[in-house]
Amino acid sequence: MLRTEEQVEEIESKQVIECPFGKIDVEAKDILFFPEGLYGYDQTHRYLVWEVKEYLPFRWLICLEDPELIFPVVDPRIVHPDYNPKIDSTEPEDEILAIVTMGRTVESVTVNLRAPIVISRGQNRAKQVILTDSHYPLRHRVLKS
Amino acid sequence: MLVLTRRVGESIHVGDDIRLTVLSVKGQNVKMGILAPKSVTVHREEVYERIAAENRLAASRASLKNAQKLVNLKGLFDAV
Repeated sequence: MLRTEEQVEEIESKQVIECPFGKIDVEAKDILFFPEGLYGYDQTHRYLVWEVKEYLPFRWLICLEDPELIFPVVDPRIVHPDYNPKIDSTEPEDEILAIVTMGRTVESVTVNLRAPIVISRGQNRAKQVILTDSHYPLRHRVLKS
Repeated sequence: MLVLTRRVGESIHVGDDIRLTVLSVKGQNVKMGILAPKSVTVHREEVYERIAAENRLAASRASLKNAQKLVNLKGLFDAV
């Protein structure tokens, strides 16, 4: 299928991905580069944090190299207001996100406070950090009894 | 896997910036020192594995179908 010059320009300046939320226009400025990927996913490095109003404050980390790979994420301070991890980082942290693990019930949804994602927005870089002060749990229940 | 035998006090260099040293041996336990730049992450294998497993679990359960639970949860935060 022949593309018009306009279409070619569009494709080259942006990337369109097909993910569980449908087609998304990805702009270079929104792409986060994870030099080491995520733990368990060290082969994929380019992600996007996607907002769907319906789920806010929960957002979605979508893998650009494999758009079927998505993770629900949230600002950990929303589920744990005193969250203040000591992050030994060489880059300035702009934003911290935690990965949400769904459960069979609403009560069993947990947030990984032990290994947050640290995002340096200005540099479009991010990494997942394992906290060495282990009192923040791997599975923090969003709903406390 | 490269296999090297070291004595207590001896070291191994990995690349130019990483050094592993056998500090002491007591029974089955080997105490090791790791010298590496801050940019290199160093973790016990089981810690790494636990995080990787939790990431994989989170990914496997991330679906639009399941996402309805997040809509139910968010009512909690509207008051914040």
